[in-house]
Amino acid sequence: MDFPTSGEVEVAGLVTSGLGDAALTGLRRGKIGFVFQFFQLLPTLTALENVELPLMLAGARNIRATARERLDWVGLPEKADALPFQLSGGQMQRVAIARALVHNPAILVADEPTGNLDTASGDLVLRLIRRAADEFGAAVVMATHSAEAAAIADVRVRMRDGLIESVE
Amino acid sequence: MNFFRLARQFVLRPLRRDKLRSALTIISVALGVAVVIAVDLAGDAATGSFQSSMTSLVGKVDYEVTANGGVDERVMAKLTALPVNAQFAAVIEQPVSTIAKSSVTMFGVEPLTDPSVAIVSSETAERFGWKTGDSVELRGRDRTAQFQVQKIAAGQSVSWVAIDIAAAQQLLDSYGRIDRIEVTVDSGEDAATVERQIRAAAPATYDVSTPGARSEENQRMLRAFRWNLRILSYISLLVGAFLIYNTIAVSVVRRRAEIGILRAIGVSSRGVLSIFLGEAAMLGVIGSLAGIALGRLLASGIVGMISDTVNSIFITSAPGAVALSWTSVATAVATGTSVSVISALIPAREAARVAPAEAMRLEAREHEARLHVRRDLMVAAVAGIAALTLSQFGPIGGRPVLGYVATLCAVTATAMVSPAFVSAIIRMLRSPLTRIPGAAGLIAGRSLSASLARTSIVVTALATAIAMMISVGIMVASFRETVQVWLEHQLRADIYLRAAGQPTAGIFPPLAPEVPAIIAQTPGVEDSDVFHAFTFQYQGEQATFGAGDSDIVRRKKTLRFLSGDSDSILRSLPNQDRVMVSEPFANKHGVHTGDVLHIALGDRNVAFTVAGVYYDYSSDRGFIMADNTTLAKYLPQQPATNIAVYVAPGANANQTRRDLESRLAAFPVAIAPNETLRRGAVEVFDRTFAVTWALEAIAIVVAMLGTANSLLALVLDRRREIGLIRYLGADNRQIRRMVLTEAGLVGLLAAGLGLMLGAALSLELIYVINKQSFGWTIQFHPPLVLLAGALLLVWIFTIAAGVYPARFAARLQPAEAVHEE
Repeated sequence: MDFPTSGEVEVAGLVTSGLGDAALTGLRRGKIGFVFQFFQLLPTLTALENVELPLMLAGARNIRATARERLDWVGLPEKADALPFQLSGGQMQRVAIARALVHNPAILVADEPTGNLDTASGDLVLRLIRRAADEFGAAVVMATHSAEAAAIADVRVRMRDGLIESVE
Repeated sequence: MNFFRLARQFVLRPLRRDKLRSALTIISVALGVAVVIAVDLAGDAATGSFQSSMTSLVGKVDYEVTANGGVDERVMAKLTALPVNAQFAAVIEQPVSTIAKSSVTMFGVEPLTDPSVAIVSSETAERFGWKTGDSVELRGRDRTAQFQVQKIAAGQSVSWVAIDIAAAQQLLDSYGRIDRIEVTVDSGEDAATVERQIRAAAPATYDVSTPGARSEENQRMLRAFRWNLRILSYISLLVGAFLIYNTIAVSVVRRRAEIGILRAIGVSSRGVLSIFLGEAAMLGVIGSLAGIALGRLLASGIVGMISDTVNSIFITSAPGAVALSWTSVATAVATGTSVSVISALIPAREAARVAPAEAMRLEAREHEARLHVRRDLMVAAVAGIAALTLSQFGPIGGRPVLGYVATLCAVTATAMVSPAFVSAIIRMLRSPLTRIPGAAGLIAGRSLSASLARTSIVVTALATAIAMMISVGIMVASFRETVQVWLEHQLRADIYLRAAGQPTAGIFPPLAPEVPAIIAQTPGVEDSDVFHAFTFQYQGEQATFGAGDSDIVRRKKTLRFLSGDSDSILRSLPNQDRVMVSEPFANKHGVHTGDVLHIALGDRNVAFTVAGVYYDYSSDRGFIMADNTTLAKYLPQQPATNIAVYVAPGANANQTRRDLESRLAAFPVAIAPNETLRRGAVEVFDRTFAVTWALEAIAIVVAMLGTANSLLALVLDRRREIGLIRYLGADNRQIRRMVLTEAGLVGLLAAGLGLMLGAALSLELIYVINKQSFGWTIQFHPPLVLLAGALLLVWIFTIAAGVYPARFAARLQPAEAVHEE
C-alpha cells in the first residue's frame, strides 16, 4: 500500500519494494485483509455485498456462501441486506472484519480498529480479532493507542515518535 | 469581509486546482456559444448581401419601380417626363453566360457611353482572368456579342458584368422590356411627392418600393430557415447549460464543509450564493470569450454550406464576408454568461441554504435528490401535457413559436423524468450488472444510483444531444423519402432542358424562342411540355408563377393533389383564369381550393380561381401554376424557361437526347436526362442538410465533453472509495473497467431517454415546426438502421469519454486515497 522511507517490507518471503503493481495486487488479494478505524464500508453496497467484494475482485467461486458464513461468524447474519448507514458503528466494524477475513488472509492488518467505537463495541471487536488469529490462523498486525486493545496481542511493539521503544 | 478576496480564494483557487475539470466546463460553454455565434454570423454573411452590388456603381437609389413579368420601356419615358427633380435609370439584371459556359449576372445600365464596352467586378475579373482592354464574349439567349473590358470595379465580392442597356436588350432579345427603373431623388426635392407622382404615372399593377424593401423581403423569406438553424444551435447551448449546472452542483457538494465553515465565521447566505453565482459567471465569461473566437472560425467553415442551401432552395445570393460585430460579441458574452448563471441558480441556492452544522454531512444532498423524485415526476407530467397542448396551435407571425416552446417543454419533462428513469433502469439491470466480472458492474451501478442527482443531469444532457440527433435524423430521412417519392411522380419525362448556367432558385433564365419548335421536330419526341416560370410578388412575398401544358401533366400524372380529382382539376385550366397552387404557397398564404387570388400580370390585375392544391417540395417560395393558354392571354411575350421532353414508346431516349444536343448546339441550353435531374435534386437536398448535421455533431461533442467531465467528477469524489477497493484487492484493470462500466451505463441510459425524447421531438419537427415554417407535408419514415448505427456510435463515444477518467482512477494511490484524518 505504502512504501517505507527506509528499510524493506517483507511479506511471506517477498520484498514488496521489488514487486510490480500486479504482484502487489496479488498479495493484497490473497494474503492480506484490512480493518480500518473508520470502517470503510462501501456506502452503496449492502453488508453482505461488502463482505463479498474481495472475493468478487479476486474472481473466486462460491462467493455468496463464503460471505454469509463470515457474516454469521461475526454474529450479524440478520444484517446481510442492510446498508452501512443502517448499522451502528460496532456493527459496521464487525462487517469490516468479516470482509477482511473472507478470503482467509495470512495477515490481518488493523489500524486503530476500536478508535471510533464505544467500549462495549470495542470489546466485541477485539474479541473477534483475537478469534481471527486463533480460528483462521491469521497473523494480526494491529496499530492502536489503547492499552486494552494492545492487551490481546501476543507480541507488543511500543513506538514513540516513529521509533521502536520496546518489544514485549 | 472583503467579498472579492473571499471570492478569489473560494472561486479561483478551486478552479485552478481542478484545472482539467474547469477546462472541460469552459470548453462546453465555449462550444455552445461558438455554435450560436457561428450560425448567426454565417447566416448573416450568407444572406446579408442581397442588395445589388451595382448600387456602389450607380450611387444612392431611393426607389425601384418593378412589375411582374418585366417593366414596359414606355413607362420609363412616362416617368422621365414627370415634373419632378429626380433621376430615372433603366436597369436590366439577367444571367448571361461567358464563353466558358459559366453563368454571370449581367447588368444593363444607362450611364455607359459606348455600347461595346463592359465594366466588370473584381470578382468576375479574378474568376475568368480578365484584364482591362481584354475583349470578352457574352452569350445571351441565342446571340453572342463582344465587349471590351473598360474598367474593373475594385473590391467587389460578387460576380457581375455591366454593359450598356441597349446592348443588353439586344443580347437578350428583350426589346421594349427592362427589369426595373431606379429612381434617385435630387436633394431639395420631397421624396414623398416623387413617390406619389410615380405611382400615379405608372400602371396600377407596378410596384414602387425602396431598395431596402427587396432585401428585407428576401430576409423575410429566409426567416423560417434561419430560425430553425438558430433554434438548433441553441440546443448545444442548452446541453452546455446542463453541464454548468452539473459543475456548480459538484462544486457545492464538494465544498459543503467549506461552506459550513464560511457560514460559521459569519458569511451571510447571500454571500455564499454570490460566491457560487460568481463562479458560474466566471466560467460563463471565459467560455463565451473562447466561444466567440471559435465561433468566428466555425462561421467561415459553415458559411459556404449555408449559402449553398440559400442559393439552391431560396434565392440567389453571394456569400459576403463573415463580420464579427461588437453587438454579436456582447450578445454572445451576455448569452453565455446568463445561461451559466441561470443554470447555477439551483445549486447555488442550495449552497446558500447550508446550515453551518449540516455542512459536515456529505450524503445529505443526494438523499434530498431522491426525495424530490415524486415532485419531479409531477412537473414532468405538467410539462409533457403543456408540450402536447402547445403543439395543437398554429403559427404566430408565420413562425412556429409555440412549437419551439413545446420542444422546450418536452426537454424539461425529460429532465424531470430523468432521476426516476435512471434509478428504475439501474434497479432493473441489477442482476445482469452483477454478472460483469470483478464487481465492476455491481459498484458502477450502485455508485451511479447513489449520486442520482448528478447522474441524472449527465444523462439528461447527453439524452438531449442524442434526442436532437435522433429527431433531426428522423425528420431529414422522412423528408428525403417523401421528396424521393415525390420526384418519382414529378419527374416522369425522359429529358429536361433549361438555359445553360448554374441553376439558382428564383432565377429562370429564358430559352431562345426557336428552341421549342426545334424540339417538337426532333424524331423520337412524343410530347414536350414547355414551361414558363418567373418570380412574382404575392402579398409582399416572392413566389413563382409557372405555366405549362396541363394536358400533358394530366396524361402523365405528374402532379398529386391534396384533395379533389386531378383529372378534372387539370381539365378545368386551359383558357380559364384558373390556377393550381403548391402546398407551401397554400399554407403560407392561407389559400384553399375555390379561393380567388388577385395577381398583377404586366399592367393587368387578374382574378384567378384556385382549382386545386398540389404537393410540391422543390421550394418553399410557393408556386402558382396556370395553363400556357392562360399565360399567353396576359403575357404573350413571356419566354419559355424549361422544357420536359417525353420520348415516344419504342424510341431510344439516349439517341433522342444526342439528336437534341446536336440540333440545339447553337443555343446555350443544358440538356439533362431524367436520372441526372433526379440525382441533382437529391444532391441539393443533401447539401441543404449538411449544416444541420454539422450542428448536431457539435452538440454531441459538447455532451461527450460533459460526460468526461462528470465521470471525472465522480471519480474525484470517490477517490477514497476507489482507494479502498484497491486495498480490497482490485487491480488497475478492474478499477478502469469499473469507471468504463459507469460510462457505458450513462451512455445506455442516455440512449434510452434520448430515443424517447427524440421520437417525440421528431413528430414535433415533422408535423408542427416544419409544417408551420415551410408548409410541407412530410411522411413519417424513421431510418431505423441508421438510427441504430448512430446510437451505437454515440454509445461507443460515451465509453471513450470514460477512458481518461478511468485511467485517472487507476492511477490514484490507494494509501493517499484512504488516508484518514
